[in-house]
Amino acid sequence: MRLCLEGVCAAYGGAPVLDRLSFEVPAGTIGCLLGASGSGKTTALRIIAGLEPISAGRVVVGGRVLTDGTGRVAPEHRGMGMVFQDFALLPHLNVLDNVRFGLHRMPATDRTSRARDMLTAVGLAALAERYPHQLSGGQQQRVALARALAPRPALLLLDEPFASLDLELRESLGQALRELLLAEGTTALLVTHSQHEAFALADLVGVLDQGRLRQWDTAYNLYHRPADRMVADFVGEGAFLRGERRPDGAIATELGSFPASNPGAPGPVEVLLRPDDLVHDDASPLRARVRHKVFRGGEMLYTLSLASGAEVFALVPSHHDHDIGSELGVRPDLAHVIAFAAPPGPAAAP
Amino acid sequence: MATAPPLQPDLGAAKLPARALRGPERGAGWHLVALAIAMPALAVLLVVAAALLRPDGEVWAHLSAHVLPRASWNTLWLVLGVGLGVSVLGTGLAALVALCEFPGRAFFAWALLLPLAVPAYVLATVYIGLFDYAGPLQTLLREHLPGVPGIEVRNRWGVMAVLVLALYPYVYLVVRNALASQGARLMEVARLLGHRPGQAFRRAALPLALPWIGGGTLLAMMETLADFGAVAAFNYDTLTTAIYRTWYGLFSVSGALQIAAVLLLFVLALLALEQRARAGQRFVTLGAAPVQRRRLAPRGAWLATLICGLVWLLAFALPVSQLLLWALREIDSLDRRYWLLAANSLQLALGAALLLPALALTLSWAQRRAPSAAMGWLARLATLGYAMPGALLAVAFFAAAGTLLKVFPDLAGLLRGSILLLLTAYAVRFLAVAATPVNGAALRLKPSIEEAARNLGVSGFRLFLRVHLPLLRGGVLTAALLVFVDVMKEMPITLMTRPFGWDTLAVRIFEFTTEGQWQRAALPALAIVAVGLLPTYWLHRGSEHAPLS
Amino acid sequence: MRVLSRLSCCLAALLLTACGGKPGDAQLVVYTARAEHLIQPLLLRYTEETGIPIRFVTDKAGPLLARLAAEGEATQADVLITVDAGNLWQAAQQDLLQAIDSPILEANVPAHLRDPEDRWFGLSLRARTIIHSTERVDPEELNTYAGLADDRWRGRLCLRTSKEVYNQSLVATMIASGGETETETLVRGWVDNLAAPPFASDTQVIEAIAAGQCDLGLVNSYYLGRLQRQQPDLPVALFWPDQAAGERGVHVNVSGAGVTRHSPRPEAARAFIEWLSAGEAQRLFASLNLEYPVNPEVAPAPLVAAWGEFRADDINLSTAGELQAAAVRLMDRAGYH
Repeated sequence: MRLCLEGVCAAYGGAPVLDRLSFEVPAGTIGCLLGASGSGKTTALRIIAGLEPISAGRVVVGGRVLTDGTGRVAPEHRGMGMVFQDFALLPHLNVLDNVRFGLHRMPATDRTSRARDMLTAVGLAALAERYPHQLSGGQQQRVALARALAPRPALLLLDEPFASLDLELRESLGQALRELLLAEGTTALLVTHSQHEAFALADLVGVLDQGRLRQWDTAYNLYHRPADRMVADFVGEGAFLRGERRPDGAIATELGSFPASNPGAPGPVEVLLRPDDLVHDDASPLRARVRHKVFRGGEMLYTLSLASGAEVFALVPSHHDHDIGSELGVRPDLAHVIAFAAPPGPAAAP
Repeated sequence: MATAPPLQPDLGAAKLPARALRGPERGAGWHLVALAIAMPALAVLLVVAAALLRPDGEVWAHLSAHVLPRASWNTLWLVLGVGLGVSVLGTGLAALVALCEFPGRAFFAWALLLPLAVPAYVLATVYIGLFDYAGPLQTLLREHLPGVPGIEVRNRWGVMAVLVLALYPYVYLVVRNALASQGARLMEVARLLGHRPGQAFRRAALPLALPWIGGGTLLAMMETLADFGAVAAFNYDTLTTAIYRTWYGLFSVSGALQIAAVLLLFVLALLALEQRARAGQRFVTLGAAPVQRRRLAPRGAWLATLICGLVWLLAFALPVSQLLLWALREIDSLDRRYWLLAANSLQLALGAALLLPALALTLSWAQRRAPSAAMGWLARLATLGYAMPGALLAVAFFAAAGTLLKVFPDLAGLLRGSILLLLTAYAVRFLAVAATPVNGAALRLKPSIEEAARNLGVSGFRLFLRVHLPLLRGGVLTAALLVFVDVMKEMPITLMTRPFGWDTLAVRIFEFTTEGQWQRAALPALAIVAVGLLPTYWLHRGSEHAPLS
Repeated sequence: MRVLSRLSCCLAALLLTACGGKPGDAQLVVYTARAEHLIQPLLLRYTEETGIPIRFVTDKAGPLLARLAAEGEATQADVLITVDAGNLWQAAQQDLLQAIDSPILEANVPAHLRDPEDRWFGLSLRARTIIHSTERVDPEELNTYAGLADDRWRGRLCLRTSKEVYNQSLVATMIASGGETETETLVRGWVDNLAAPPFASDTQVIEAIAAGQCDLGLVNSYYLGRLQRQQPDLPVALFWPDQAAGERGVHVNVSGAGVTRHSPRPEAARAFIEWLSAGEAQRLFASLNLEYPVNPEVAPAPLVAAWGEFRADDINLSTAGELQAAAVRLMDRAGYH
């Protein structure tokens, strides 16, 4: 079911936590709120779950207003599922009973089969009789997921679902989760501080900063067409290169002149340069010195300094191995030229 | 207690370097440590058990015909009634305070602990004074409604009510902490899974709190078994009064010890049962996420305030006001000696509050390091003293210590005039009070934390000091608080075992009550409450904000 | 870590200061079941008069006897003081007291108020007598302890619990004079007449009578004295039973003392008890708690004297100890709890 937040404001002890939060997750898709800790993303999730009140705005799910400034529907009447960061399995119940816990409105005969189906779906059918303390972190996570999905929630909420798991588990579980959600046709919203998680799972991602939503968009656009410098900074790697926006809209930098993709007033600007915006080309007259390099398997991430001293990144196939201190030729290859008005003072690489 | 899994992998003894961990040897060491801690209690139990070998036939024949049937029946009623009462009242109040938001919640969170500082015998006397036929309430009733029949409060229900009011904080304290740290979280989970608040509490938070409810209730039940003051004030005959009747009336100490031995067997069975019920449950700690207490609707909120207020009024404000009224009449006798008495009480209570949680921690640690059936029984036996009437325990302790001192006369010189003997006796009596919260907290130590710490090269005592102690802080503080107030109130052991000059406030109460001068005892009773207030508050704060317990 | 070491320092300091108690330079050590405020003024005065410092420990008699028994020869105690004869008898029985040959005590303490073998001596008298409402009971209707079992008192009697030693001593002496069967019938009569379950204290009995819950009861006289100090117009009065010729007289118990078997200072202990038995000390010993002096030469306090003269039972009080267990069993059988 479609989730829609309209101008949601919330405060905690007088301090505003969320400021006019608005976004929409279409039915059957996965949304994500991305933000650092303290950005208000968990509060947003708890508001949607009905665990916290709001001071203004509305939370609408499937056309039904669940929370507004005057009141809220109780959590148990929302038909939502939630996966907590710490999984919050009931320690006194075994795995099967944990999954059955939310099925009390189902006919008794269907409960067990539904729970077993869900356990099979997350690959834990064999562990149904175990207790939570006998499970690994990844297994607990999958039980929590099965439990949340078992009652066929209209909306699934996930709070940093992979934060306590290691990288490998994250990737495999992430994939499994996405397939499971699509198979169940569940609309989902997750909150995380990890862009990898966000990009791997979500169709739409919002960047939340100090209670304000900076951009609600596809992962591609967040990365390549960030709405402001904060988003550009927070999402992905990149450098800002000083330049000048000319009245005709073109941006002049030491790497050359490019047509701007986003509008703006003429004057000094900073151009967002992603690592893949700079291509290694020994034939290029543009030379840069290698300051630092990180081996990434198929690719090598170089930190380079240009003639002006500005630092930029370049992603280069890893068989091109250059020593630190050596020079190499680079060529800009920009599909989108995003420039923000330059802040006072020298530009620094993030 | 002995539920922690063996955390130390069996590495096998062969080909290990000298400093490697060798399971069995270390196990033996830990068993010795546990044995040393349990030794005074074992000595006392030995004295009690030895009495069984010399049965006094004539006394037993009389007791079993005319005393024990009634006393056992009464005891059963009382223990079950008090157990039910404290578990319902303690859990209910704990749930309100830990899970809900209502006017006065922060105040009640602390204030509902205060009845801990009021000795049960004081509560009993005050209640009989206020509510019995000759008391002001019924007198007023008769004056305004002539012909109204007298209401008898000195019966089973009266003594039950008083003991529930006096003992519910044992349950309240531990359950509140357990619910505050994790219960609210599980309530949220349950509600998101479609359970109404009531169901959510019953099905998610309550099962979580069960081991703590059980532990606290068991403490209250043991204390009820051992209680003499309150049941004597109500002249309600229990096994404890039968014990004293046999001792003081029939002059048969051995007969008294025999009844106690039978009593302790039942308690031991109860302990083993509770242990077994708990054995399957092991708890993994949840992360500390921000959890909001449920804001109650205005009517519910005021009802919650009313309930908490009523309990607080009945269990604390009312008896303390009555004590104040009585004490004001005797205010002239408040002299400098009270400073000395209070200082003695404080020193003994603080000494025990330091010593006993340390012993309980060591015992709990030993059980974790070297779990075995023998270890489990040692730990259980070490806590049995709590179910034994204080004066009888004092006699058994004295007999055991007397034997020891006869064998080692040098020790006598060292111990004479020292409070070491007294503190040891307190340890025998109150170790259960310290062990319950400490073991409860240890139950939730995540094995992974320990593994992580060992991985970082932290092990042995440093592991304990740097990893376990901080995590167990809540349980340890709870233990210290309970021991502190219990020792402040303790009378028979202090009377018998104190060295010259170590009179306490409780001893002062004894001086008056032994001659039936209850009103004059109000001043020292009030002093006990007053001295107990600050530590109660301090420890309350500490245990409420501790990460676990 | 720092907190822990600081705490352990505290504990160590506590234990050390406690260990630093002065060695036994006291010249007399008293174990007393008589409460501190009823005995300490006398101890202070004795020290003042003789220069002999006294240390004392208070507790109930049962634990004190157990303590003496456990300490054996190592005991520091010289004198044992109790508030009833039963426990003195029991102490003598357990060989915790030694006989003292004292012409002074023999002269000051009437023969029936001391051990026939001179191991203990009564020092003050506690009279257990009938108390009645002045509003609802005519003293003419009252006569003896046995009379309380009469049907006319059905639902009008209040008693203290049989756990209290004073009731046990009373019934023990009743067995001695009237026989076990007769006494049991009589006690059953008392129980049948009860207006309320037995009370935990004599004071409650008096208050119940004053409040109208019942009309008469059995109490130690000094409890009335204490209440009368606070409320002089209490509508209750004492009645001395069994005063007619051939009747036993008012049941009395004693608060008394003996020298412990292993007393390190038996001579000093004897001198102290002798001092308590005469003159100002004897007067003070009794009047501190509104009791009667045992020494016929010494007059009771004015409030006590105002209750009038009575003839006391002159049965030897060691009987109270001997028959106490029998009395307790009898009361159990009779349902007097």
